Amino acid sequence: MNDTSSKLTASVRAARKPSTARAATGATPATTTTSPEAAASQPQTAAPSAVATPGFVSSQTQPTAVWPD
Amino acid sequence: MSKTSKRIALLNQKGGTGKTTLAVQIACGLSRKGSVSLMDLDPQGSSTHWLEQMAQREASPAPQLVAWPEGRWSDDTEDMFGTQFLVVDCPPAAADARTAEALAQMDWLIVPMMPSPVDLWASWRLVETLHQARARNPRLKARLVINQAEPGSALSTAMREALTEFGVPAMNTVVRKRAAFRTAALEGVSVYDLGRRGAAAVAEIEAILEELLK
Repeated sequence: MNDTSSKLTASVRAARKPSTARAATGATPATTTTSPEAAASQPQTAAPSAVATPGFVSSQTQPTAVWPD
Repeated sequence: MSKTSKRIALLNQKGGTGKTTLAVQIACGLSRKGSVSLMDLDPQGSSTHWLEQMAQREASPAPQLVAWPEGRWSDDTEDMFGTQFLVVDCPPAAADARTAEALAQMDWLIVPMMPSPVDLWASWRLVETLHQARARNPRLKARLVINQAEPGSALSTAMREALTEFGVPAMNTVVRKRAAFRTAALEGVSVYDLGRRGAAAVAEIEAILEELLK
């Protein structure tokens, strides 16, 4: 699967469940202040794909039921 | 017993997917195989306008416009239409009550999808609607159809893979973004009336019909 295909498919998965909690409360994710030194010492992790899709949260959803004919 | 052998609805809750264009062209393609009614449930009325233009120009076989039946839909309703095929251009709203009522009567539901991430993101609720419709009407078949695809575009190529996420089969036919579809609207005709200018578009509509009628 090429890069565009995997990005598009990931964005579709991420859009499956809208962020109802954020929409309902208007709350923004909690943030913490971290010193540059402390940040540098923390392990780097890959950002979840949903970060690239503002307004939606990553969905750990079950596979969609296949449409029967 | 109803005379209508195939009832086909086109639905997408998002505007600009080419739903009306495909509804009109599919109806015109079917008109070359038998009698066709087209029901325009989209409040924008574009299918109605297009067919009225065709009637004025006396374009070759054109579908007849029919209205939403008064009262409940029944076999008598389709006897009133009196055509072999029925094409319904649904409102751009999956939650519309008439959409639900119409889908309960259909054999096929076609969902045009643009090669666009935003269009795909907006489609999850529509998929829920499809499954609700299927629960009410077990004979309903559904297909996504990639519409306005651009050859060479990475997004267009990626669409087929992305569509598998929805769990609803996609048509083998892909409809390309073609001037002929816009020209047909401009001239108030179908792509079948455009001669060589419409040949490629006609081939795509015929391929869709082959998948629907096989």
